[in-house]
Amino acid sequence: MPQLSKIEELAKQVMEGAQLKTHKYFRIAVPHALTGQQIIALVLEKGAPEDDVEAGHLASLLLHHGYLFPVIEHVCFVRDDGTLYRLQRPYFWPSQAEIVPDVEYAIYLNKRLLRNEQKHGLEEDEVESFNRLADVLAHMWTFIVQQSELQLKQQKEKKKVEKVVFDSEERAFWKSRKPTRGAANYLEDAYNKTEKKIRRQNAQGYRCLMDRLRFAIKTKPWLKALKASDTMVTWVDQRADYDPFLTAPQPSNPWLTDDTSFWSLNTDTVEVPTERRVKRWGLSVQELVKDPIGRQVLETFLESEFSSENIRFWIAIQDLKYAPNELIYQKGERIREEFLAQGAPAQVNVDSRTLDQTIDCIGKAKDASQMRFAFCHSEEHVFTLMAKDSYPRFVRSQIYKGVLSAAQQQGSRRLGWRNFVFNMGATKKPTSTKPTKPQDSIGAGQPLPKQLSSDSLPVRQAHSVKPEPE
Amino acid sequence: MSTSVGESSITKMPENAAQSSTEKGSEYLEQLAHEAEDLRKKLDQERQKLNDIPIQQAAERLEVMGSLGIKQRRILKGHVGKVLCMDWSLDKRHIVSSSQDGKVIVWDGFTTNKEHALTMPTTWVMACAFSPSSQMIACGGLDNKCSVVPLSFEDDIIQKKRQVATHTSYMSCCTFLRSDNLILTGSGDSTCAIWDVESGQLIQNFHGHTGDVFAIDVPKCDTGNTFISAGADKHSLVWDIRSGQCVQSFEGHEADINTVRFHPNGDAFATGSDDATCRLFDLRADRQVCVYEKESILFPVNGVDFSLSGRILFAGYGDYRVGVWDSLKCVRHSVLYGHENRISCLRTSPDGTAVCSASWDCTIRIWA
Repeated sequence: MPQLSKIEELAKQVMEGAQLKTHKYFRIAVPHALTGQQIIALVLEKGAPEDDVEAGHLASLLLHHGYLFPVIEHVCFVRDDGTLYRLQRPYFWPSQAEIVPDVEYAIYLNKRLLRNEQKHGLEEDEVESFNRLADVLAHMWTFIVQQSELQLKQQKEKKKVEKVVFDSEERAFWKSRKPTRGAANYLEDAYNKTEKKIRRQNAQGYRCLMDRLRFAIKTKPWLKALKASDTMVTWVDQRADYDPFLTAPQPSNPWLTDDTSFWSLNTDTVEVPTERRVKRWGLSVQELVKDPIGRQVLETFLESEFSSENIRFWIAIQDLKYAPNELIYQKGERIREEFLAQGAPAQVNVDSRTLDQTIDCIGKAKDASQMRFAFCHSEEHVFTLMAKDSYPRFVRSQIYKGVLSAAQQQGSRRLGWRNFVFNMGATKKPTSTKPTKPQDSIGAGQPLPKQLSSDSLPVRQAHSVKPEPE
Repeated sequence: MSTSVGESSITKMPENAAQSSTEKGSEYLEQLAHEAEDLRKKLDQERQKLNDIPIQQAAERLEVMGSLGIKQRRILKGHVGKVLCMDWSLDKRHIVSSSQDGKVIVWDGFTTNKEHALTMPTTWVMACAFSPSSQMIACGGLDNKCSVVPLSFEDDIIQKKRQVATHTSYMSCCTFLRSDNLILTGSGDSTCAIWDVESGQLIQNFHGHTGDVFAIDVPKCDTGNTFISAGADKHSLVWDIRSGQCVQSFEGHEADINTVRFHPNGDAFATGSDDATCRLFDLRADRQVCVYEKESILFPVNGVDFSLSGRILFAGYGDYRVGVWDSLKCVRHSVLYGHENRISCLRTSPDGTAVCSASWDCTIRIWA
């Protein structure tokens, strides 16, 4: 069990540092033992834990994995007191016995049967196991009996203290290997860990690897990310306000307060998005298009610039890429007709090279999976166009500011009235006139984002390009 | 395998045999391995020239994270076997979980009620996933299959179970690919594959790992056509969904990689391994950025995930604990105690309000 190699290292150090002695438990002498307190102190010294809690936890891990065991009381963790424990003999460590054959278990159980019943008698579970093994291993039972007798004979030659200690070690070993029903087996491995296979790399694999390496050497992709660390730190820092673990969500985290209003205020069909949500759209175009409402507001903005086909085209392609096989051709054809074909009703602004590439890909698509990704050149082109060109204008636009101020107002109203349901009828006019007033560059009849100006549920309509899903 | 290694060392002795190296399979492979190694060294040298600053240094300008007050908020009890996998619904409160005894349970994590329970015809149901619409779940494991089950309260849902994917070894992980229509699976047969849910057709498969695949992840943002996978060969591979080609590979771990998760920025990812470390890799910088390790951490990492901003990296360990790491300053911030056996899976909720861990102690716990 390779995953135990590190804890075994700790077990070794604890063993080296341990001072075993005979303790008194009431009037019984307990040889070769140490107290929980001592163990935790040793772990604290050897295992570099942060605090006492971690030291106690590490000590209990040693116990669970069979490196130490309680001598008298049945405790399943290491107590920070005078409770007595014994260190397991390395012979019985998990690494020394990765597999434990049934035969050995049968010998052990039989040994105990041959001894003083009061001291060594089997527990209920063990009796059951014994009976089962006697059945399964009937063909070699004579051997098992001989072995157990032989081992007992050797045992008798030992000194009394040694005998007591060995008995306890052996018992602890089998307890951790064959835990009673319902108790946790900490030494069990996951199926995928015992069955995993490492295959040898084949020639094809190597060739792919070398192509990749050569390509990387040639293109030096990391140069694009000069100051990658800095970029990441900035990115993360910008989002600290939106991270519920770092900044308390408004009005509250449902898991802490049992109040689900945070969720109901942030659904994809909410009439007015929260201020935080709208602010997040200002971080990057990805944040904007990730949010279904964000997409719609962007579409409204692009309509004002007479280029809403870009976002509709992009959304349609997202829909195509993850559509069922059956609908791929149908959807692909519709996108071509609507956005790319000559004289298409909503022709997207793609340069001729990209357009030719895409048309070529569509023409060559032999099966659904090729058709699925046939539009990727144009998709990238259009997205870059939106990101570099439209998005900066969007962030400065009256539409975005309007939505933001509506969200802010809604936020304050929410606090004032404690009214979580946006009453469209009452607030429609103020919100829709206010932001449109300063719109000088855009036509006067410019519609606002749907959810701010109309009472229909707008989210579904955003995908009007899509063929009917059913 | 040992015999082929033996063969190669024998055939290597006569020098003149080199001419017919293309015929001698194992020798040819050795030569290729050699060439690849040379290229890798050259690449590493080139990369060294990058004047990037270590992430800890870049993060110096950030304030130290204060107390986060994370506590256990819910405990879901109902499994009688080891819980092996869990997934959040996009509704932010439902959870699907699967266990070693073949049970799959759908919970309302918020109320801790069980809403559906089904028994799979196999033990070790290693993977389960919620579909984006929350109308469907997918699960599988030792049966080598990925089955989908539509969720409804009207009838016995197990009757509606459909097999979508079949591998030649156990299925270790699965996730829907941005819609209810496609599913991505990873398997012990060392491949990953994308399947059409409706027809069960294979859309694309991904060959390149030399060991069992243990984990996959898809970036959260829509742009980009990649996913990552990792497993027993200690490598993380980045794949192009469209072509089925591996486009980038990352190494560094000293043992099996059990879990992999994209950073919310989509340009980096974290891994957790049997070597008791988590690592952060940057896709654009094309290299390992950070190792999250500590002398007192001795057990494998079985689940990693980020908080919404990416600042916190949560790691679920084989030592029953959840480690809360400052992903940028690369220090452990705190530890969450509670589970009584190894943690098998860990995931942040879709809106980042909570983190959920599944364990061999038969429970699922939600922390916030």
